[in-house]
Amino acid sequence: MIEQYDDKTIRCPRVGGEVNFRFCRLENNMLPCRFIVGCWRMYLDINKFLQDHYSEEELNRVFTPPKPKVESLVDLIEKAKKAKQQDD
Amino acid sequence: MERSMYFLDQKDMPTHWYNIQADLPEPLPPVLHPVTKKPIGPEDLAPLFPMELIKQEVSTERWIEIPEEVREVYCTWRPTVLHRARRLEKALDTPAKIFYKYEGTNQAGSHKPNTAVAQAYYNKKEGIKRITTETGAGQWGSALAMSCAFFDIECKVYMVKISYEQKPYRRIAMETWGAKVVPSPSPDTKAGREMLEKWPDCPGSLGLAISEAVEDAVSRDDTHYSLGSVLNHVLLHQTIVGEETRKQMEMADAYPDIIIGCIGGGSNFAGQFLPWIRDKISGEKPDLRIICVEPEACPTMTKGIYTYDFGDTAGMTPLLKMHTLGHTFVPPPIHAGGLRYHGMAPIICHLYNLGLIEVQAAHQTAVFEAGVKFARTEGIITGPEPCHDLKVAIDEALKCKESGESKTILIAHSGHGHFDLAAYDAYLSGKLKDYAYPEEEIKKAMAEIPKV
Repeated sequence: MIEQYDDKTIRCPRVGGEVNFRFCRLENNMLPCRFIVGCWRMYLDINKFLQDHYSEEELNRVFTPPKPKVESLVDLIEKAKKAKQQDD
Repeated sequence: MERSMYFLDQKDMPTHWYNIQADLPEPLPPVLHPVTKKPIGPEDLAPLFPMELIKQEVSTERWIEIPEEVREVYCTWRPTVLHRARRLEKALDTPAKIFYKYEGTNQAGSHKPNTAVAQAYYNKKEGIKRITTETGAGQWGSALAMSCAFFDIECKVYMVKISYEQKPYRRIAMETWGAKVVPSPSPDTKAGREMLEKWPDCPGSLGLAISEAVEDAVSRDDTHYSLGSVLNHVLLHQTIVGEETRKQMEMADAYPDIIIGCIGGGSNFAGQFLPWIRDKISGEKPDLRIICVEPEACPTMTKGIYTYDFGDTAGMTPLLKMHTLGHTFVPPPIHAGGLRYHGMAPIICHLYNLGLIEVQAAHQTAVFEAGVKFARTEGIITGPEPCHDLKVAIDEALKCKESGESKTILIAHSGHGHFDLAAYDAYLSGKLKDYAYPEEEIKKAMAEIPKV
């Protein structure tokens, strides 16, 4: 079951504190954090967990890396402009 | 008594930031749009940043004057002290001279206010009333909250909810400086509301917090957004550190043979070494070594290549020339959170490509071992990121012991580790593990980088 490791904890360097596995598997817009393999591979069979519970398409979305900063900001600006237009 | 601290008088504080873009042997490669393949222009970023910062982002002027109002705020903690690590030298029994410039003495505890203050000032000058940002652990949020207080600007910080709940003292500090701190996801933005609808107990993420902060800024004419790393203007503001150090090293009648610092987004170490690298570029100091240190667990530069890399698997996002491990790389965990970037500041990548700086990798247990040695000799409990500097500095000092050379080593020390004591606890109790990314996995990731 997907909740099997939820109570295990680890220190997340991104948020600077302790988190449980549930946080890691839901952190990325309800999908796993893109760092989940590196963070958990020493403690559980994370690759098997991912293969058992996620589709290839979902895993592709998960492991898409962050865009370079300037470009990701431009993307976010465009999204926010569209959201504002819809509200108006 | 031998001198261990070099103080620069406030009247001698540098009046200009140094812009490396004026002295680059080759200009920075442009940032490309994925569809047009043309460079992204300043107008694309105007909804978020004041025009003065956008101009600095692309400026090739060598010296950019630090506004008097910014210098006045800097004077609440600057110039910072240059230390000679005599007790560490003695413990290592090395003939090397070890200096470190310590940026942990300001009100927010790291180098980050050097740019936060400047960004708040330029926004104020442009008539901006509010600034938004995101924060994870709270360091950047603290620096910006304090800076906005100095310029009477409203500050709103979207703090990742799990940190908001785990780190109440960081939140209280930001609120004491006058910032409004909300847990992300929040009901204040469309992005936050959509997430809360799907998952009411969502603990948040950095990506979502950034989305909320940008959406907030774009939706109001009186509001801008602020970023504390990676961008050229952020590195520019940090050069106050290196410019001060140059004057202090003169006071010590010394010039560094080696400058060492950790690299993540790049703003800390760039602030120290950029003002020195111009001597190497000009040929005046061809033998000056500049060593960037990165975690062995996330070898972005020591094992990466310099190429254009798509930001997503569809290849539709913009392309940027930077060091990368390819878009399938997933770094393993380390305690130095700030070092876990997929890529780093384009300026640093460019200098590395030009052969002007070198990069070394360090294992995290050795890094903390160096941090503990430093704490027990110099007294400072160093943040996990600058512990990387200490590891390589100690290695270089021990090489001097073997060779008998008396080299001068300068360390860029970005701040203390008082909010990272849990990481020290993990090291001291033997819970930290070393992990180097397997060569085979790196080759696999590299094979997927597109040819441009």
